[in-house]
Amino acid sequence: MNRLDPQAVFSRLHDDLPRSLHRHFIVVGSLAAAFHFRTALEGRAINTKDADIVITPAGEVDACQKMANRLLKLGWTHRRSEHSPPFIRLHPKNSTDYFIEFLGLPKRGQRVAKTIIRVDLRDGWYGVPCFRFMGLTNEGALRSKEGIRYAAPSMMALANLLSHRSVGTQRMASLIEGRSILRSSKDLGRVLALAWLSGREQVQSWFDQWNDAMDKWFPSQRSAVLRGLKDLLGDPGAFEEAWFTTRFGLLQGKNVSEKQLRSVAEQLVSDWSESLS
Amino acid sequence: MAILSKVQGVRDFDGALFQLAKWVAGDRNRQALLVMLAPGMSPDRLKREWDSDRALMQKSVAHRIGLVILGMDVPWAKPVGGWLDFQRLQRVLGTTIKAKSPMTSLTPKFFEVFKVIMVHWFRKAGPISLGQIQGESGSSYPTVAHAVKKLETRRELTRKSRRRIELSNFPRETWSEVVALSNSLRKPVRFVDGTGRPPDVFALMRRLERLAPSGIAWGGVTAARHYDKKFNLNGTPRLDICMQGDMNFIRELDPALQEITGEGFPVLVVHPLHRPHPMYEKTSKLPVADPVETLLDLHEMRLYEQSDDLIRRLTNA
Repeated sequence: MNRLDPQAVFSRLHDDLPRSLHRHFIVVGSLAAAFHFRTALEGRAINTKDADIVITPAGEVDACQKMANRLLKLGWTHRRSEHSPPFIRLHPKNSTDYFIEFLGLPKRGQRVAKTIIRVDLRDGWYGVPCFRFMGLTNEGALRSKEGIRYAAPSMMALANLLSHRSVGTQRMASLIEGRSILRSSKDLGRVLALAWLSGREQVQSWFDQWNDAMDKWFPSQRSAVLRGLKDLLGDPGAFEEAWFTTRFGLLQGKNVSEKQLRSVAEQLVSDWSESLS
Repeated sequence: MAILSKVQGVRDFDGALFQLAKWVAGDRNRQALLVMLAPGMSPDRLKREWDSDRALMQKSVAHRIGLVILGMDVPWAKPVGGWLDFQRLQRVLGTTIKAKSPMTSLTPKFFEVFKVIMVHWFRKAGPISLGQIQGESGSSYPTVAHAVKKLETRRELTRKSRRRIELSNFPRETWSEVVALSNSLRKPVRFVDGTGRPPDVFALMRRLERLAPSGIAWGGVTAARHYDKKFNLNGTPRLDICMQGDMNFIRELDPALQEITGEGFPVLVVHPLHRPHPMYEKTSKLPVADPVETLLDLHEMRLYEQSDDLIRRLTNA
């Protein structure tokens, strides 16, 4: 697991990636969140394995192919991937400080949680995952002063909420600080960390963005937005796992207790319900 | 000598001690003794508080104030110079307590009557009838009469024609007693932000204005700024509200608000009003609590200088 300085990585992305490619990707995931909250996090490095970037336009094999081949030609190198077909994970030229992982923007109407699109690169076949709700990260994307686009916290939160309508049983493939963690706990814990860092009023401003995004992408699923979070609140073991993940993620060093995180969750549920009434 | 009994916590102790310090500082020949009867706090806690409070005072004031704690297994004293005869002191106090202890006559009912009288004085309402005080404070005639007599004995109040009364001037002596025991008389309910985030007082204020539950009024710094546009304080450390009725709105206001009972830094403090007439001042938004509740809130926040300034402002207005 790497520890990355979000500001440094954004600067490197700006320098390492050709300018003509900048409009074709959005940074998502923990790196995007850490960059957005870098002041609140006091410039701390974050535990993350990579810089997840989503390639636009949606489901575009050609765009992924051209971008990856261009980078390989510029000297970027593959990082080993255990998947089959391997995912496109690239280190910048002459460096292993970070790597970017290609994610595909799903087409509107994708119903399965995850598809893999096959991309033919100059050195073989690769897979690019397209997650059903990842398209939301393209809505209202923010831009760093270097011009790098990144997903807004509100949309990352919404994507994670919709990805888990219940706590479920699926566990993360890798351990987190030695513990096996539910996938939903990790993702919903991320939502709560984003909410904690944003503050209550900012979170309340998310709701208009959520409504607009839901109207565009998932108009019939508004009632499902917080279903998973409510399920998490009712499952003490799963909630404890969610809190545990935040301690080593975005909220590391903030000493947010489980009880405090639960208060954030209750606040979010109450405020969203109020916004619907 | 000031005698404190039924002390609920550190705030009562600090308040009484600093009031004594102010009095002692007024004349270099004065000395004071704070006597605590069976306090609810541990002696070690009291001693620590004693030491830290005195460290904040000028040395010339601190060494003229003594402390005696009685009602424990072993009495404890930091006398003002020389040796202290505990048994003689206890005999003296025993006599004093049986006869007329100033603190034991400061009952909750007296407190309500006193506050109503003070509100009218600050509002320059002129003489008020005992009947009106009864109605507004929710007290019986004997309670009001007893309170009036006490204030009159201290020359803080004068009787006017047609069974009306009025404060003669700012009732400094009674006010000092009241602020020293304000916390235990008012029983405020304190809330912290249960999320652990830095509290956002203004966001809470906006939300409260939007919800506008009935029976509440701004107190504390918010109210002080209403009474004095030049109120001398940067920012708003917390929200104080006065309230008649129940606190069911708290959950709707913010489900993350959590009540605290010990020390801490609350983001919201609710002061239940125990009289029928709230005496709020109307504004275009939420009403504002009366000046006396506001001053007591400032004292509770240890904004002593700002409280004194506001008293002067209200007195001279």
